[in-house]
Amino acid sequence: MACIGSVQAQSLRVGHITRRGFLRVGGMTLASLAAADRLGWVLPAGNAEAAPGNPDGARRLVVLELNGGNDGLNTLIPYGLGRYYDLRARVGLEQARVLPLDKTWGLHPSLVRLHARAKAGQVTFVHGVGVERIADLSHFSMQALWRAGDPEAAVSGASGWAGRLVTTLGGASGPVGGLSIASAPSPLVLDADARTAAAADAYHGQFAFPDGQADPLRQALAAMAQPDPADVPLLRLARHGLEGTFAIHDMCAGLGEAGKGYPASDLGRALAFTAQLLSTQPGLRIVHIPVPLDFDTHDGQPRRQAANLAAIDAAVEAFLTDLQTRHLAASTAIMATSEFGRRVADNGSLGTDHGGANTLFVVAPGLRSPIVGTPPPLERLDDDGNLVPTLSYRDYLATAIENWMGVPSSAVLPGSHPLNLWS
Amino acid sequence: VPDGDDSQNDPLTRPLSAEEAAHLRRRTRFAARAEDVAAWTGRSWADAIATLVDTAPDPLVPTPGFAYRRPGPDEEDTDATLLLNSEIDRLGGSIGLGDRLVWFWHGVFTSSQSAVDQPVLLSRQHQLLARHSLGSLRQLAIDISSDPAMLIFLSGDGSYVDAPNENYARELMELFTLGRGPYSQIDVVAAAHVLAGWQVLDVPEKPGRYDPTRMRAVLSAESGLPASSNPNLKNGVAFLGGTGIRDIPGIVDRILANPACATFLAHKLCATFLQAQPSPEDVAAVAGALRAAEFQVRPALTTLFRLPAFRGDAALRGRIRQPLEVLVQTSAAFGVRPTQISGADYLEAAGQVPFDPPNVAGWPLDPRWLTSPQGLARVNLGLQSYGLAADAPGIVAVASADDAIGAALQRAGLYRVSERTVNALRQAASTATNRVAAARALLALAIASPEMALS
Repeated sequence: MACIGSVQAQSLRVGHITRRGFLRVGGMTLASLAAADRLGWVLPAGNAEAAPGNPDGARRLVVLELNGGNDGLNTLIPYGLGRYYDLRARVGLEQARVLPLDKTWGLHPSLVRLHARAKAGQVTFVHGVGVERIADLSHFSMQALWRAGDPEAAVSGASGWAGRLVTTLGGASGPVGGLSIASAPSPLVLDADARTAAAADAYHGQFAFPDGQADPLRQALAAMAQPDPADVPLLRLARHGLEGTFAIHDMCAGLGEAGKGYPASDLGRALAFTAQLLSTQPGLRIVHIPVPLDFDTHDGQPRRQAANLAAIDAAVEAFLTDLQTRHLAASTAIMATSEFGRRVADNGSLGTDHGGANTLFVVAPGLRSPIVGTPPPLERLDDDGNLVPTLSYRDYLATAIENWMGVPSSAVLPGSHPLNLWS
Repeated sequence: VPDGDDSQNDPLTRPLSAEEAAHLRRRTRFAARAEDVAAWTGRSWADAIATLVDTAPDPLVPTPGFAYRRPGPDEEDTDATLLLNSEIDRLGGSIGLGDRLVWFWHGVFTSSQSAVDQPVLLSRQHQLLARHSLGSLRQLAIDISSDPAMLIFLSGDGSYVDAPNENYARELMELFTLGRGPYSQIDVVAAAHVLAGWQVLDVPEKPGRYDPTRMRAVLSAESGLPASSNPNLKNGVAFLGGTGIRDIPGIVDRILANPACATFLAHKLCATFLQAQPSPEDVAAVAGALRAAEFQVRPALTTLFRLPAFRGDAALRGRIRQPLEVLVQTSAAFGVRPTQISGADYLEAAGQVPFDPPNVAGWPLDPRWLTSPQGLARVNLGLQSYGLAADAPGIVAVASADDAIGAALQRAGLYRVSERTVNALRQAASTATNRVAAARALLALAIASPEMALS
């Protein structure tokens, strides 16, 4: 599709949508979504034939988004603090079941493999991450803050921090730089200049042309996807959306074999697909996985969170093994995000309500400590009974941006202060 | 409200063009069938709205023939598949505005089969939505607050009055009725106490057959009973500016009395049935109609469809079509049932499976439906034309038409199409070896076209 690319790159300049021209629909901006669909315009030829592995050592980041609010206090557990057991009489984890990291803190018993890797310097849990001034306890407002990383909208309209990171890494041209493993790109990966997209899996990422009909149908689709100056804004976006299908198809058609040993779970499939993408798409630097599990444990938390964490533990372990085989282990990190932690005191439904500060984790080589940061004291909760953040969510994100990806965090999250998790 | 005394100047007496007839059918149904558009072209706006809205029958959602079996871990979720397929085929049939509203309310007061894990309860919730879909929003909000599927989905099942969870109380206000802003965390906690005390009976713990008529929600002594019976709450709670609130109708009435409620729901109605970005004036008009009619849905919809903006150019192609509408229009274009073109697979690829919302906020009304993965899913749905029998109604109609391109576009409900798209269809038809092959290509490309992404 290289010929289409060059023709359309010209129309891009003619019809460039400026940030001032943002048209808002339902909280997302059309201009940033148009950016997500610029794929067909400048995709280089031979992208799928790139050498396997990671010869240039460029670093990649996989964002695991634990939507619903994973309970950090039952992930990294203060099993040495009596106050924890006072507040969590119903959903507290018994001391004997906790996997200890030190005399006070230990992991949920579902995290057997992450526990071993934490002790080997490959996982760091970070205390007290949160939004400093909590507006409310809404999933959706907190997710929006986390995805933008930019509460004052000082940087770039409604763009996401990962979108801005892709822009900073690669500018407006080149291969796909960021991807959501989903049926549509998340606001997290959008930016007016970022080459980002979404694909749910390899099968749905390809055209299903009948035998012998691929060429004429492809040509007709490409003709329909050409920008048309007469289009109203929504039709223009719909055309962009059609155009990007070619880049997604080409990306998903050249993946090679999936890795072995993954659990038969949605997260296992998403991570297996991610490993295939990372080893065949050298320009792909950020993969965002909205983890297909429900972390909003208002009830039945002991059973549900144990299953969620076990699913993460098994899938991440298979992914790390797969990355090793693909020679990507040294250059790939995983960062978990979640919009909030959960209420410290449990409710009467064997669950916990929406909370404040959270414990999150990073998986990467060469980490200096299994636990970093200041735990919010259980004795000094906020007015709603929630943990008070000791680390801004922006500083947590900045850590991966600056100290892993090597991009000054000021370019993506102005005013943030990265931690050093590495020795 | 009459549009004016001088009927000669009343724009609602103007006859519908084909494009306008298709527009009205698309908004009051899921799709515009070519034969319906032909039949309605030339009738007046007022006549069409009176028939399609004012006298639309209340919907009747049948119960699928469930096995009433809770599937075991090694069994496919046969009842869930049955529920999904029966619903999408029903929507692909001859349905009216009420069914369009059932789907709308399913996206607002939503519940998820993957969380509830009881297809029969989702089916009964759908029937509850059907009872009120054009009627009383007050009764809908009251009834769904003790609906078994909702109680399971948002943790009301077993929420104890003395230590309630906040799940349903928060989402009832934030996502279903008010939006963020008009309530505080204190209101959430107060409502959680009053809304607690329910238990869903007879949900079988183990796989096997069960009696669905025994499955119902009751106020349970074990769960603490409701506020009115609880000594700690016998004086009720203070909630949204009221005091002494002690039961579900009391909670719902305080919510409806808040000015934000009508505006919030009117905005959802306008963004769905009018255009993606409705003006504040149009939202205010529909909100006013909701309040004036004591939150009856039908009069508010009549107001909406009679708005001048509904007949304007911005509304005609100013809305992003959702995947379920794309599927139903495609099935109409091909002349087959949605399940005959792997409808459930398409909806899964596009991320809009009935009874399986992505989260408690339902399916968003935003431009994600225009992005590349959505385009790819729509292309592959259109390519199902190559799997149709040569005597499928859509193939026959297009293959035998003098103007095959026009016939394919009209079957897809498209009456205003860009030259660029028409040229692409012409190019594809010119390379086809015979009329049936051309019909398959034209139908596939009409569905794939960018125009199809809008409504």
